[in-house]
Amino acid sequence: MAKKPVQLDENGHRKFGMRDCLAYAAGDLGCNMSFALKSTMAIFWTQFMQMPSALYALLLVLVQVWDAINDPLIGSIIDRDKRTSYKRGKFLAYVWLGSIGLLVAGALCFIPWVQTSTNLIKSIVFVSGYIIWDACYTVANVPYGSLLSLISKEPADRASLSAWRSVGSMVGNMLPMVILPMIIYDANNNIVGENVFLAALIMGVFGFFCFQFMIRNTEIRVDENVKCNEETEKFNVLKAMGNFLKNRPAVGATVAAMGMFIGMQGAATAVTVMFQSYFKNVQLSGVVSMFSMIPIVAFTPLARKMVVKYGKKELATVGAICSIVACAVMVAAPISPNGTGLLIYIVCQLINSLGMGIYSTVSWSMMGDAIDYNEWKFGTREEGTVYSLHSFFRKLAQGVGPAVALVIMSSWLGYSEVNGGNQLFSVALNMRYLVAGLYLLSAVMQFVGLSLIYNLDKKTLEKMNAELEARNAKQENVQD
Amino acid sequence: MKKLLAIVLSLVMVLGLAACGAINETDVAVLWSGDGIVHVPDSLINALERAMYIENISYAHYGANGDQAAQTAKAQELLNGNCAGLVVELVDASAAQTIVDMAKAKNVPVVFLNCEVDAAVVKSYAKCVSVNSDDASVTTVLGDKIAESIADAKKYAAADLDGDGVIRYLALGDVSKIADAVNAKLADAKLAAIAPVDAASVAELKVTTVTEKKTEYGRLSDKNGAVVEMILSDNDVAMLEQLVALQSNDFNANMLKTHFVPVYTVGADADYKAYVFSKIPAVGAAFADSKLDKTSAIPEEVIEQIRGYSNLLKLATMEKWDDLEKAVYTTRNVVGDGRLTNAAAEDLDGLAGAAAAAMAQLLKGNTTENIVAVSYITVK
Repeated sequence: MAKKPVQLDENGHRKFGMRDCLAYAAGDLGCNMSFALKSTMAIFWTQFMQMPSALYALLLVLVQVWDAINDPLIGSIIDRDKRTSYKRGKFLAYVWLGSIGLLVAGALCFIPWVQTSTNLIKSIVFVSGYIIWDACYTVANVPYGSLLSLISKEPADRASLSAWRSVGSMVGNMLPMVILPMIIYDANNNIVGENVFLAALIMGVFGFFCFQFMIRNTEIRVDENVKCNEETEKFNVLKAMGNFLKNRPAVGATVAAMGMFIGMQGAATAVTVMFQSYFKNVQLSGVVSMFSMIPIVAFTPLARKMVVKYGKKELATVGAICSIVACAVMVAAPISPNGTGLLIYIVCQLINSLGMGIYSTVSWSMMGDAIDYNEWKFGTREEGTVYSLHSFFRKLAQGVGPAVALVIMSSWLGYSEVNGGNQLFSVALNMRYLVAGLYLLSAVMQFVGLSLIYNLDKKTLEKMNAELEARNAKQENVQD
Repeated sequence: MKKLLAIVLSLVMVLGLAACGAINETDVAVLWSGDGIVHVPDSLINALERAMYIENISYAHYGANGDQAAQTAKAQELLNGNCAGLVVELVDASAAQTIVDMAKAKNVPVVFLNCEVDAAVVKSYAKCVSVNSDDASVTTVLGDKIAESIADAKKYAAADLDGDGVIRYLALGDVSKIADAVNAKLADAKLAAIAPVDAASVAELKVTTVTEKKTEYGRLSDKNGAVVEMILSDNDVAMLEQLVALQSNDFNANMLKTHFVPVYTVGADADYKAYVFSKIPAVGAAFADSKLDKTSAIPEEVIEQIRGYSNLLKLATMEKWDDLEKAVYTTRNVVGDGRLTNAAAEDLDGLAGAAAAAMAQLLKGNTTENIVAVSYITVK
């Protein structure tokens, strides 16, 4: 049978199509094969390695600070690389390099053979492993993110790539979320360090193949002379912060995003301990998490139509209210450590996830509007500043959230590393309330950010867009 | 933001405390033979907390510290204070009738837990139930638990430290029924039966002094080609004594540098604290003093005494009394330390669940005739 000829566009590139979308989705899948392991680190290091929770929390904050430095650092290294000798282009070459590192770097964060060493040795192993992993991840992830604008310059194609990236991300999150708990915990709900290491290696290999699929099936159609780190110019932190704080939509969207990450990642360790010691079935935690993603999957196709009809702020606010109600019920309802209690918890989580899912679907789009707002109100767009500060606060919530939660768990709520997956019942009960409390805090933060701070409702947004359009048209006329 | 966090956390704490329940006249009083304090997860007292929460019963713990007279007096005091029910782990089973008579006079239900109470005593009051494990059920539970850990070829090979194809156990007391239960499961999985490490020594293993232990356990060292790959015991308190002796004698000296040996025992209430206190009286005396400031440093002379029992308590982790208290109640400090691990016991959740369920039924006005027995547990 004759092979179907490849269709080329006017520039001689392969025409954009499903192959590009699948390849781009595979890239995020590869990234998540490594990133998804992060939520297991606290349990591994405190319960299996017996590192004191306070020490782990401190190290987590330290490596998170490094993480914040690491991103622009590696971004600028890639930006400054002007070599043109790369076979598949600079960005794909860096993704390839990162993917090689990620084969084993994920597993380096879970080295189980220093379990009986001193805390100093354990700290060194943890920090070294994390830094190596973080470097490899950033080398792969930063150019991967920039590829979206290089694969096609057509807005519709970019929208498709963005949507398929979400699909890759979702699959990449769900696979480990469901399968990992079944592999890494024993029948007594204790984490098995050697299994985590092995799982990390397997995920590294799987991620590597995903990256290879992406690299081999990605066609660069746009000039690579773009920067993946746009904030390398002189950066005045105070001035940037001042401008950022004046931008209400940006602040609102950032508070909401921080809330979302506190809920998702800050509570992750407490959720695991709750499933270990309260429901006594940690293997089930992944399946429950998967259930809670169903509303997000169901809502995604409807998002566009609903946004057009009701507006982003309005829709996301309703989502936050849904979450607040669900989390308030989660706090107050009689969630017993049995099947009935688990069922109530799952129902609350489904509603909470639906609320959170509505916001997460429109979150980046709201940030785009916040940048337009800057131009509308102050005459300048300041994309780099707004995005970098938004990104900084998101990372802050991702890093500090879990660390603070762990300190609360160990200092006030009785969590003891020594007891591993079998905590005292009073502690398990505290975890059940901490989880509900953190989710409620998360929902309240989203509501405050979206409803009270973010001020671009449907009507204002239409007015802003119309005025900006008129302003731009006027400028074009002047230039003509 | 800080205020919001504080409010949410306060709410969480308040709800948590409310759920745990403070003592009042309508609470069920739980009277324990020991100190009545929850220290470790693998304990009946912790399992009962969970079971009572599931049954939505508010309760409060009271410890007798091994004093039956004190327990009986406390029961009377609580009955006079109109407590809703009594769950009692008797210090001395012969006091059961006295407790039942006192409760009957106040029409308050009684559940005896984890103690052998005569059937005639239980039958003398329609609101009295006894929940206890019987030998057969304990053997089944323990046999299943051990089999679960070795009844596939990969797990079996991992537990067979010397790779000779047979897992060899050291028997402390009469464990033949437990071994039979395990071997029945292994036969189903077509795996070799577990066997005593040294049949002759097992029969003779009735040593009483440290010197004798040294001689006996010296023979069991892998230096002499007798690798112990599992320890089975019919008595948890005796097991504790034996484990300490084994560790003191560099048991399985070569193999245990890289491997753990599982320890399985009947009984869930090995009182590590009492054992440590008996060995180091200064520690027991300090904790008996209600004015002890647990955040203060442990005096040097006590440290010296502890140092003599480094196989019991890890000094490196102890500076203050608080640290010591945690260590005393942590079983890992006794059986852990990279040498021996995991004393498995009976079905604590089942036992506690049956007791709480029985109390819930009695509080609803049901009598013993309406209560159905729970598997593994004898409910009289």
